[in-house]
Amino acid sequence: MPTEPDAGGHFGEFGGRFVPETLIPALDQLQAAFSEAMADSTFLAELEYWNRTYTGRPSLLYHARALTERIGGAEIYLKREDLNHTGAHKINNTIGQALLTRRMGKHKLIAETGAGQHGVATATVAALFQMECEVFMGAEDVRRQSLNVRRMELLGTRVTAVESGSRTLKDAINEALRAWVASVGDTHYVIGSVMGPHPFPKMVRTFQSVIGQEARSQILEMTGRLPDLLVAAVGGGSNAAGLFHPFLDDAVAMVGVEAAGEGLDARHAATLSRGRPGVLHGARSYVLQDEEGQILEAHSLSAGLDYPGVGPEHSLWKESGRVRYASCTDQQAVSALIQLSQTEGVLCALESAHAVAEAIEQARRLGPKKTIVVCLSGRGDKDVEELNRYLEAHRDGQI
Amino acid sequence: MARSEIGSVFARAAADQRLAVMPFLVAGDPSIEETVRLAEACAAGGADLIEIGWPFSDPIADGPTIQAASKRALDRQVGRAEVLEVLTQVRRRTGLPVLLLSYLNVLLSMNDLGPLKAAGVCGLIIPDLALDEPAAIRVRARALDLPVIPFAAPTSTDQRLSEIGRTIDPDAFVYCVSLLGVTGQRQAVSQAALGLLQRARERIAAPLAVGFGISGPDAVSAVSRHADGVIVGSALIDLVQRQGRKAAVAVERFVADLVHAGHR
Repeated sequence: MPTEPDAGGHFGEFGGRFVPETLIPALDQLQAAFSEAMADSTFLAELEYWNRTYTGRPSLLYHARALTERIGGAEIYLKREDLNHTGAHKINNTIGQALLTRRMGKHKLIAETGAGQHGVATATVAALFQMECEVFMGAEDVRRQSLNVRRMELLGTRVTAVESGSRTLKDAINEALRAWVASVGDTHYVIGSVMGPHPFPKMVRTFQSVIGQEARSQILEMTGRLPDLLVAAVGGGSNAAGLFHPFLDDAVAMVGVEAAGEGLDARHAATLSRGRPGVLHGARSYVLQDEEGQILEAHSLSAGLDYPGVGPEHSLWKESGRVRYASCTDQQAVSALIQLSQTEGVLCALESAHAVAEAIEQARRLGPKKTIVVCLSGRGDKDVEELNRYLEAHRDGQI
Repeated sequence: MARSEIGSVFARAAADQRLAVMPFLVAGDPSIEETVRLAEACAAGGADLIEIGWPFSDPIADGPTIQAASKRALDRQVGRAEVLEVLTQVRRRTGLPVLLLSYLNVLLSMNDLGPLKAAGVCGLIIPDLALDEPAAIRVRARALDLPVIPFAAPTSTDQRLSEIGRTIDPDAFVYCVSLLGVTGQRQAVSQAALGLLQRARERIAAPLAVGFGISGPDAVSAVSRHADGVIVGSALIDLVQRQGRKAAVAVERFVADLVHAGHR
C-alpha cells in the first residue's frame, strides 16, 4: 500500500481533484507552494516555532492509570490534543495553512466548520497573522455550538450561517467551495480535514502528522516499545490520519471510529462502514449516498463527525485492510465521555469520546500488558450545553 | 446522428451570423410536465439546443437560483426515472439536441450510460469533472459517442486552454465560464469573460459558448462578437418563478429576445 498519493493526489483509486475548472489553477498554486515549503528549512523552522511557542507543542501523552485500572485491561494512553491552544488538534493544520497563505501572497481566509473547532482554529490564526477571515457554518451547528460561534466572532471573524441542505458541515463545505470559486485570486480556503481536492488531503495530514510523530517518540520513551493499538475518531479523519500515518510501517494495529449516531440501522454518520465510493467535495472516497448518487444527510450528536464523506486516504486504508473502522453510537460516546471525565478528570470533546469508547472496549479485549494510544482530539467545554440537552432528553435511559 | 448534432447547431447559427442560444432547465422543476412545456416554449422562441440539469443534493458550482430549483425537484421525488422521462420528452417534443448537465456522483451511480443515449442525450456537461482527472466516465461516455463538454474559466492558464483545444471530443464545444463564481444572474458581463474568450479563441478551434451570469439580451449582445453560443439558466428559472402560470409565454418571448440579441 502506498503511503503517499501519486502526482495527481490519488490514494489508490481514491482522492484526485473533482472541482470546477475555476479552482484548478489555485490548487496547482497551492500544491507548488506546499511542496516548496516542505523542502524549505526556514518554513519548517517557522512551523515548529509556532507549534512550540503558540500551540504549546509537544502535547502530553498521558498515562490514564485510573481509567486503565477501572477497566482492568490494556494500558490506556491519551494523546492530549485537547491541551493545545484553542482546545483541539485543528490548530496544527491552520497554522501550517496560514503560513502557506502568506507564502502565496494571499491575505484572506475562508473556512468551513462543523463543531466549530476548525472555525475557531482558523479565526485564531487569522487574528495572529492579521488576515481577514470568514467561516461558513451550518445553521444547525450554529445552534449546537453557540459557544464556538461567539469565540470566532470575538476573534474578529465573520461567521456565516448556512441554511441550505441539512444545515450542517456538508452544506458549510458546499458554501465555502462556492465562496472560494468567487474569490480565489486573493483568498485561501483553509480546509479543516484530510478531505477535498488534491493537495488538501495530503497537506492536512502532513500538518497533523505531528500528533503521531510525537506520540511515537513519547510512547517509546515511556514504555520502551511501540503501542499495540492506536484509536482515533473519524469524521473527515484528520486527527486519525495525523496519529496513524507515522505508524503505517510499524506492526501497530489501528482503529478509526466513526459516529454510529442513533445506530447503524437508523440515522448515523458511519461513512466507511455503510457508504460506498463516490465523489463528494472534490475527491473520490467513501460517501453516504442513495442508489442514485444523491448524498444522504448524516447524523451524529457530535457536530464534528456529522459528515457523509471521509478523507480519501482513509478509504484506501479501509480497502487495504491496514486500518479497521469501527463505529460508536451517540449513547456509547456520551457514556464514555462521562466515564473518562469522572475517572480521570478530563472532559473531552464528543468527537474524541467516540475514540475513548472504542478504546475502553479494546482495552478489555486486549487485556493487561498491552498498550493503547487514543487521540484525545479536543476538549469538551463546547459540548456542555448539547450534552445537557441530550442527558435531559434521555433522563430515563441507561446513562 | 448524435455526433453531428452539436456541430450542426453551431454551423447553423454561424451561417445566420448569430450566437447559438442554449437555455438551461432543471429536470422536474416545477414538474416533469412543466419542464417539457418550458422546453417547448424555448424551442418556439428559437432556441438551438436545450440543456437539462439533473437535480443534485450538493450542487457546488451553482448559485441560489439553481440550488433552489434542484431542491424543489428533489423534494418532489425527481429521480433517475423522472430525469430520463424529461430528457426523452424534451427531445421528442422539441426535436432539438439535448445536453445533460449532471454532477459526477449521479453519473457514477449509473452502471450503464446507455439509457441516456436512448433518451436522446447528445452530450454531457459535468461541472465537477476537470480536464486532468483520468476519470473512467470519459471512457464510458466516448464508447457511446457522447462528448463531454469541457469547461474553461477566467483562471485557466493559456497552457490549459491549449490542452483543452488538444483533448476536446470531436463534436464538443467549450463551456466558457464568464466569471469567478457560481451560476446566477449578474448585472453585466465581466471583463474577465471577454479576456477568456479572446485567449480561448487563439488556442481552441472548437466553438465557444459562454455561461454563468448571463442575465438577458444585453449580456448576450455584449458577447455576440466574441463567442459562438450562450447558455442561459438562472435568468430563465427566475423568470419562470416570477411568472408562474404564464411562464411558457414569457419564456418564449425571453428566448426570442436572446436569439435576436445574439445577431452580430
